[in-house]
Amino acid sequence: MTRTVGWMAALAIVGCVLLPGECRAQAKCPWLNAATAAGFLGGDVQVAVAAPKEPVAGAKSDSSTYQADQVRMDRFDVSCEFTRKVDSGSYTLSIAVTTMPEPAREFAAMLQQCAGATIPIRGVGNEAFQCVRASGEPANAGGQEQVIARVRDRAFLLKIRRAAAAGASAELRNDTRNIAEQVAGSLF
Amino acid sequence: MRLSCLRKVPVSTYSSQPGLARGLGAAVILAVVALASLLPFPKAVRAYAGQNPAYGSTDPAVQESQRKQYADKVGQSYNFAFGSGKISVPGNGAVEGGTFLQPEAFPDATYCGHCHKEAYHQWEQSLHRNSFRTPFYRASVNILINTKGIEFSRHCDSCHNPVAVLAGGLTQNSVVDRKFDQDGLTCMTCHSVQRVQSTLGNGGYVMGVPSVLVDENGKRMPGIPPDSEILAHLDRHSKAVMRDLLHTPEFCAACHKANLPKTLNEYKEIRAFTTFDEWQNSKFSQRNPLTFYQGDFTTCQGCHMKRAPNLLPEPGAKDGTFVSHRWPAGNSAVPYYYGFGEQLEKTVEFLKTGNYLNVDIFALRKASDGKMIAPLGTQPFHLDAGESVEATVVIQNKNIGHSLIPEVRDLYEAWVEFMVTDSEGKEIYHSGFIKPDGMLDERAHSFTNRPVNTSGFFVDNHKVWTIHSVAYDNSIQAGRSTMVRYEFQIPENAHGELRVTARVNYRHLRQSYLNNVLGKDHPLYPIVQLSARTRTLNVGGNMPEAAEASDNPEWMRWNNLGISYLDQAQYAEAVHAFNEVVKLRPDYADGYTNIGLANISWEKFGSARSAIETALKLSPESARATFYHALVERRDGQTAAEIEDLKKVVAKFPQSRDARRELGISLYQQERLEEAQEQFEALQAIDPDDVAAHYNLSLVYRRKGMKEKAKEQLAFFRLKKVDPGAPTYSQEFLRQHPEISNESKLWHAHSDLEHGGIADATAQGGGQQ
Repeated sequence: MTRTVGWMAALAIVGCVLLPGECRAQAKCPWLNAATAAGFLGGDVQVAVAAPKEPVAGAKSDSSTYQADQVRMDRFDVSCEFTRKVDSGSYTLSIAVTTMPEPAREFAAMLQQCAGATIPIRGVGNEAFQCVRASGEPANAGGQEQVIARVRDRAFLLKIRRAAAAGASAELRNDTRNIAEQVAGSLF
Repeated sequence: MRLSCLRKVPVSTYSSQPGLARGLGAAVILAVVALASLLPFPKAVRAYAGQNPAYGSTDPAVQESQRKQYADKVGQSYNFAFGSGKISVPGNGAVEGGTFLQPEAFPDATYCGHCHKEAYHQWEQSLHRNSFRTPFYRASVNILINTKGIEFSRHCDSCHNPVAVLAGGLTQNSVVDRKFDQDGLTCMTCHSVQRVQSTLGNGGYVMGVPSVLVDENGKRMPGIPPDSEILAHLDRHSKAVMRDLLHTPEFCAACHKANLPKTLNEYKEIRAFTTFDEWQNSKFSQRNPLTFYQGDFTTCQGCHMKRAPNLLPEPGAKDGTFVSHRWPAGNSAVPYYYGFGEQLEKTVEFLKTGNYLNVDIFALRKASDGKMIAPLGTQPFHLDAGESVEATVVIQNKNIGHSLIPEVRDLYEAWVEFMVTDSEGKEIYHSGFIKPDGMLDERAHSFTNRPVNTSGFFVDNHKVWTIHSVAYDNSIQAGRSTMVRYEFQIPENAHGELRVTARVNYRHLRQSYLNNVLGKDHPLYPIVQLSARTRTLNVGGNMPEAAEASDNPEWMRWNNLGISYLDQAQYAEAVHAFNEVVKLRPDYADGYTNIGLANISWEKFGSARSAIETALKLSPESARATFYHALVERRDGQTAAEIEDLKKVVAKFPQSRDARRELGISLYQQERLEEAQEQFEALQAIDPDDVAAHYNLSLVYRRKGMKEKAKEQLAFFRLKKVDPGAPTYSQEFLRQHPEISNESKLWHAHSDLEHGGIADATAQGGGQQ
């Protein structure tokens, strides 16, 4: 009996590794690929992906082409965190996506997560904002950056912690803007 | 948030480093580089070798090794869904070396911008730069990626994001850093194209490994040298990045032509858009003898890359002017979205100032007698209050080198707004208005199409892989005209002046698509008036009036009317209109040819012959008249003369598809197989998609015993010919949409009147006037 259970467990492990099943699919971030995150953070990354069991309510059905056996991760409010280990700790890039039944009200509430002021960013989603610390110091001071953006009725919070770049200013750094744009692009 | 699983997966292969400077591989490379540095390389080569750690070596052996390692790495996880080694299928993009190319091989646009400041400034806001990242593109391609798979997006991205395709980034487990997405078509994508494979489109280019310098022998030197090296060898820089191909329409054809291949739609090959072919058939190519009007030779670049004074330093400028790297065209949505004011301004200016269209309120027809009052402005007439009137508006695609609208017609909106107001400005009739929700009046006459799927549903969101038919297509081809009819009633109490306005408006993009992409809370996107004409009518007597400067001459007004009748298969009316042309211009040979053409279409070959012979008397060298003469001769069994005439046309216009096709058919019918083959092969070289060439070559090859080639051509013919079952889907769509089904009819009127339409006295044998 013990041996049988052992074999079954081994088979399950092998199956999980070999089969391109849902578990493996969910390890990919649907909004940004790991290579791009690695490029942004400056080295190898680990990725953690969290997804709710159910897709977004009212997600459009593309029945004409949708394959029933496909897992469309873009329909889930997936959150991703990319981590790069460094000597001093770790650098991270996290993306949290939320679907808003009442976008106008809920997005305004999301913006309250910015401790200080917000600076609008043009060309990212329907609307996007960089968080700026209360003192007027940009949130990227000390290597931390934060962007909150909306694509139709979905919002995302992009948080970045990495080495502080020389010459960081009140303006959002171009590469951070590009990451935000990549995420927004995947949500369109 | 309720989580089903939270896993951390180490992704050791995802690295920001080039991925090559590791372990044994790195040691080998370093050794090669070290040895290479000792060789007697030209000074320029040694000077910049290794400057860019990601893509710096100029040693071919090192580069080859680096590329091979990169390609091997990408290839390990690449989804070769369409065959081993096929990296861009369902697209056609190709790259020298035939395998994946490091994205770092393409210098960043800012690198070029060090010196080419004007080019960089313009490019930044251009559609080429924004070819991938815009929401209007992403929304559509995301559906493809999320429903069929990212590998299918290689079809779109062969043109929208060639670096991603050639780098092997479009696969499920991509190991490619996509930071280049923001640059879309960067400088060194266009400036690295070495040749075009054919004019099939879908990315029909062959990309070279980007090189901004050639060596002293003219050999391309991939790599990213410092500015100083380029400045020291400007001639070599120019040779590396500029070539004659860039000035040709065939270069543009690599992407401004597209089809939907079977590998994408799992159905059959369907033509999507054919801007290059439309140009080739226009007067601007001077390759087609059959155009209604003649024009100066103008390439795509001639309109979309015009020279203008450069405001910023630009080494590529000549005599203080530089060719536009904005490529102004019709897309106002992208600059509006990004807030690119300069690009938006240039786009609107481009659309409004090109004299591209002519709008002519040509005629009125009163319900009381059914007679046409035409051309308006030249005839006295009387209008009564309470009368029902039909206005005929003729819209000429006068100076566009392609159709209105040329590409992705399902996403753009160009339409006619027609309005009649009374003396107090009160609206009497209005078609083509914008509703409060931003949607266009669904009964508007619009120059669009309606692609449908197998359920007869409109293919929304540009899901082109589901298209099986097109319910209608009301675009106007280059040089042709279309007629739009409007019926309205003059109010019983009307008096004084009525103002009648017809205008062609343009919006990028269709409001419903904007809603799909951005949600309904987006601002109203720009609507640009392309052309307009207003006429004032009096309730009571009306006298002739002077023409406006923008009006076509009277003979041309009739000619355009005739063309629009011809395209609506109203041959008697077309002949009448063209007869009016020759009354006004008895010296105008093409007027007689037009009469002949209308009669050929009507299968009245005797009448056609006499008209064409008149044209040939006036203009014996007219290739156009000679072509139609040959068709009449064919009908009359004068085969030798027919072939002789068609050969004359081919000699003058060797790239005429029609002449090649007809001559091939004539020769085949005479069993002159070698000569027929030559014509059909030439036709296929002009247009690799020509189904007549495929079909006839299959016959010729078979009869010559070339079985394999015959089989191949027959397979192409079957793949590309229109599915005879497709109209079923169109009919289903039209049944479901009575509000616009009229648009599928060649002849239709826009009306708020309750009766069945204003009678045409001509149709009842009452004459034209």
